[in-house]
Amino acid sequence: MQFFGGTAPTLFKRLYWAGYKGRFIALRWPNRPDPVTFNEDEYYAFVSAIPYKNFIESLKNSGSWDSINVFAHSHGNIMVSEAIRLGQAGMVNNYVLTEAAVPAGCYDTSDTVNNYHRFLEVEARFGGWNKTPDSAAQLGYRGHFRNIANAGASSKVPGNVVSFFNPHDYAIFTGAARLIAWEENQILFKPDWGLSGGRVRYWGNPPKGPRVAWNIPFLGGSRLVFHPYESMSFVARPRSQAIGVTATPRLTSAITLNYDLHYNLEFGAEPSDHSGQINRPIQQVFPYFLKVLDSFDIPHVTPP
Amino acid sequence: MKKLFIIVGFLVFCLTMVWLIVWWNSPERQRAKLIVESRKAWTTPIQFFGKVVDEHGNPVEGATVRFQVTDLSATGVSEYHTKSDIAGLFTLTNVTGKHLGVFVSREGYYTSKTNRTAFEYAAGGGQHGIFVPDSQHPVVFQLRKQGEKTNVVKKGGNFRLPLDGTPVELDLINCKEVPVGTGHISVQCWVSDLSMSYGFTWRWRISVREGGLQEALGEFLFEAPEMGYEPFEEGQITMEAKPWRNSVDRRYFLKLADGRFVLARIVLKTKGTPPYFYVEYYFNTSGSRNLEHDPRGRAHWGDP
Repeated sequence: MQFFGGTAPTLFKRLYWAGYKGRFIALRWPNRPDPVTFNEDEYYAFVSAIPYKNFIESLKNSGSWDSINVFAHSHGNIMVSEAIRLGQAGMVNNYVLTEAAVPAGCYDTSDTVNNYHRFLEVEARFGGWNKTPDSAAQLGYRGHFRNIANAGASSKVPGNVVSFFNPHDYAIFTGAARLIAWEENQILFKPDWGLSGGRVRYWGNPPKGPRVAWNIPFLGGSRLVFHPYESMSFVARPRSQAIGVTATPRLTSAITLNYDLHYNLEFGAEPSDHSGQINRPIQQVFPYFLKVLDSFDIPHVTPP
Repeated sequence: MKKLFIIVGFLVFCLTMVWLIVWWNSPERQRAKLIVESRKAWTTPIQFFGKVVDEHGNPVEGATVRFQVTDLSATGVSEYHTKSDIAGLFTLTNVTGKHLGVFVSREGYYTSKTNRTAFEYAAGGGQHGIFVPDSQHPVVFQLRKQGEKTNVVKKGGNFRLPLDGTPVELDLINCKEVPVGTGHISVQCWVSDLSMSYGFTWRWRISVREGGLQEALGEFLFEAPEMGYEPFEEGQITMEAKPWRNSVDRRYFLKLADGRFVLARIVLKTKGTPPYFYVEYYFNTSGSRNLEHDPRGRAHWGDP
């Protein structure tokens, strides 16, 4: 089992009391170099997926692990989902995404999911050369992680892929005052227009694909963007809300089960509830950890 | 000289107009507008009209209403409180923000988790679009009056799950595995190909010795039905099933041989290491059909 970020000790302790007695690895990667936007953070997460994939595969191939289950929070899901996508079939047994700052459309190509009017309106407003890529083939988000599960024998995750979502999540959806929420980032900083360091400016530029302009007065040139990591992180605007605030239909999605954190645990719009499973007392959120173990096919204790 | 001055002036004017037209239609201007609009979204006037009713549709007076508004305050979230009046009505006015969460509760009542709690007031905004308040049609919040919670006992545990059809029988009064032919319920599972990690056909059978079971559906599973019990339930997941799952999560009302009623959640995990099933249940020691229990205990059941 693997976790991310500085909250790992608390997660481990809470899982222990929920019944988990296995091995535990916590990983972190160099994230959030840009305090304003999510874009550089996302790019770092994508790039970090490659060594992470190699690490997981080394565990898998060592043969000393009965099962490998992965848990990732917020933007950590970019790195984990990408590592799983790059990996071999059956790479991990089960995968929990919690409050994930990843477009739902990555896991589900259906129009039902990829019709979030807020993003579509902005796309329509810019139009033309500034329309950003949509499908994975165009270097956009839609379907990028579609085949990690529910894809027959080639599924990278043969077991459960469970998304824990909060329809009020401050960091991903409803917030603004203390930080730019993920959703606002997709509207204001996709394509990235220079606030993020002021070095470059991107635009959609169909049908040739995204283009980047070097922002040097009178001398600035431009080039096409060919790499999906750069395109998704700095150019593409999703057509769906984040998977961390909404459920996706089981039939079309790579997500096999959704768990509503508001419905089940009354998570709200407080910024601290973006990590409510850590920030709240264990007495309030114990069911969360039972459900995580349940998602991992690991026996848990019976709650009092 | 004067002629030259006029020509230069005219050229400067033309160039300025061209620049203005280009700028007016430029993505930069659109983005600047977006930022202003985005900021303004968090100062949208908010009005809300709600009504609290019980399970029979009667108004509930004195219910506590907590409003959570995401706005531009220092914490990013402001909270407001009120109570429902004699007609069950409550309002929120003279407030600004973008996202409104409405949480209703009252001592002695359960809050229905099916109540809508998220409302978006600014442009775009959420899956439901912009919420339009209507004082003539207040948003209805349902509560359910709590009943007696006498003699209801909760038990649960994890048990082995043979995948070759070998029955495992449980004594539900003592929550332990007992020899075949002596238990209250029997659980069987068959897996077509034990070597496969994904996409195998499997089936299960849950039976109640000299009693019966029926699926439990709905939010408040407090009263076991008197009739409608079948001696067993069988299910199957074929290799072609979409979505394919290696586990099932079922909720049942059981009627035991001695006439006692049980509300049970049974989760079969074919890919646990080793395979197992989890049972958690409530029964009334007096034999009554009333199985009302503390609803906090059911939260971790989540979505089946």
